[in-house]
Amino acid sequence: MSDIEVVLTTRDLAKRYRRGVWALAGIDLDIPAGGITALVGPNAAGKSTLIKTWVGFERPTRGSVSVKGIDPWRDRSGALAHLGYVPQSPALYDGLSVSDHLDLAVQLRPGFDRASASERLDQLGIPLDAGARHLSGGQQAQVALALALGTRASILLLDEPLASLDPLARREFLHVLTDAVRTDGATALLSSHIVTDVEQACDRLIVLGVGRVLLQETVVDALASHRIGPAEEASGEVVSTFLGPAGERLALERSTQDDRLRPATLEEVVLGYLASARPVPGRERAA
Amino acid sequence: MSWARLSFRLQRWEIVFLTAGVALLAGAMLWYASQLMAVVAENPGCDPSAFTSGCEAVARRYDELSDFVTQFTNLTWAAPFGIGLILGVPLVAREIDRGTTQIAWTLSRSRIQWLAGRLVVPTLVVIGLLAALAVTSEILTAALFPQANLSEDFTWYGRRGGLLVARGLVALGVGVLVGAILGRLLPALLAGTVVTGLVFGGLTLGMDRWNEAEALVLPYGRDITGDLSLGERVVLADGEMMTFLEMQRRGVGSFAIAMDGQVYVPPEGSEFEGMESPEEVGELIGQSHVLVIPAERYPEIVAREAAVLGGVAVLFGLGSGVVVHRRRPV
Repeated sequence: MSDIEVVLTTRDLAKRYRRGVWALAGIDLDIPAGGITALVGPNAAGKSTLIKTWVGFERPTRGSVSVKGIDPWRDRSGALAHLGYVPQSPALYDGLSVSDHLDLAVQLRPGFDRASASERLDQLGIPLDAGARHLSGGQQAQVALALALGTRASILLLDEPLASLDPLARREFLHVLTDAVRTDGATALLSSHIVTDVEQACDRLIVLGVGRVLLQETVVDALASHRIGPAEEASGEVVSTFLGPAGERLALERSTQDDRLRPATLEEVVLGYLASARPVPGRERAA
Repeated sequence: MSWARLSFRLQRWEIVFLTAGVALLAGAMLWYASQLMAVVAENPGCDPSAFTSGCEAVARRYDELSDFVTQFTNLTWAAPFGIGLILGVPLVAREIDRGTTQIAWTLSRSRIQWLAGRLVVPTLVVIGLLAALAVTSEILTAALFPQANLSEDFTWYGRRGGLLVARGLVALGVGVLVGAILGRLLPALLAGTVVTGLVFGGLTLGMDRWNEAEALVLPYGRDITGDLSLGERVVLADGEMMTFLEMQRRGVGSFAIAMDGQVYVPPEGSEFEGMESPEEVGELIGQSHVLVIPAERYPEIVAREAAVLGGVAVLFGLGSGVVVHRRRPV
């Protein structure tokens, strides 16, 4: 990856919360510039914690993170200058209108592109004079995305913005995101626990489970290098076995040519890696 | 202007509620002041504070109005704390509570700048509302004490004038800091009230000590109208000065103060009876005195206390900045 610009990194990143739980257990990541990277994992996998360390909301217990080479804990404003952030819940100001939110962003962020944010919301049919509290969840998420995109930041961090949206709103959100990333040449990291949502939109995949990186690959490579089938027929490099939709035991194999197995879907790849990290009874997560 | 408009909108209900309350209070104070002034103006030959012959009706009316007016001083005393806390606590706490800091703190590259910007409107509102109360309370006091020169008079000290504004700014600072630490609106409001009580308790104690160190010790009975009275002391025959409490701690269980302020203890092994004159049966041990700051030092003392309060408010503001800079947004 030496000839590719890396914009987000972590090195041996570990985060332990006060109650003693390790949210991240020492992870190394390099996220290259451009495209959308999906950060997939179940609840409590550490996705939000990881994103929040890049935003400077969480301080690493061990290791380091950087945004374009800047440590966000040491130089938060330097790191934030490159970042647009969409939180898990849109968390808009109840008492302000959509237009007020854009005005607020103009005040807070030098260079905020109010015109493009306004136009984007207009295209989605979101009235600028509407109060934030009167918007649907999908509309609120779109406003939050418009605020992040309006910063013209080169890196967008989206912390499960799709979680509370209906399928149509999710599709619209992803459409706006992919369109904006392609147009602006930005880098986006989109966390989600719903694989089908991100499959079409994302170029790269990071599977996070129990605070560790289980897989880090392009979507194309992930699909090309994994096959799946009945567990008894797998003979190669088995990632894990897990139950299929009909209750049959399936094996995910890292292989490109095992003819007894069929190509795995992205959801099956993710499930296979998550299954590989299932906690063994009696063994706790540790850094 | 846009930032001021947005800041106002973020706290508009508190601002509207407090402005309405202050307008009501100030209006009532001005009305009573006008009534008092009318009583004095319509009866130029009468001293309304004295029931002299022919002026009884005037004095009675003046007395009735005075009773109401005294209640207002309680409200003007409490107003800085209420206004400061109601505007200060939600400033950060509500944003953390509702998660809006996640957007604000990532849009703004500096949380300190964000906090400074958010503080402007509430600070101006605190200053504006309490300045209005400061002026109306001065007018009311002047109406009640028409003979007094209030620019050099400690009457209703701390319940009128610029100190109201300074206290409001401290309460605002306490509210912001406690709200930033707790990040929950209701608990922060309760904790802010307690912390404000402790802070002002400590400040009052400190200022009293400072004033006592500079106070004049005047014999009991001296006219101290308009002076700032800091309590009584007993000066013993050997010149030592102490409070009555300290005297009791030294084993003087029973004592009596005569009309002229002389302090007597009963003969050893006995106690004063209710009706007897202490001068006849007791032993003179000292003279009661009062500690006062003379009235002419009023501007200086007010300025000094306002400066201390302003410094404390700035400290709370800086503390809020440190907390906001370091804490999680939710």
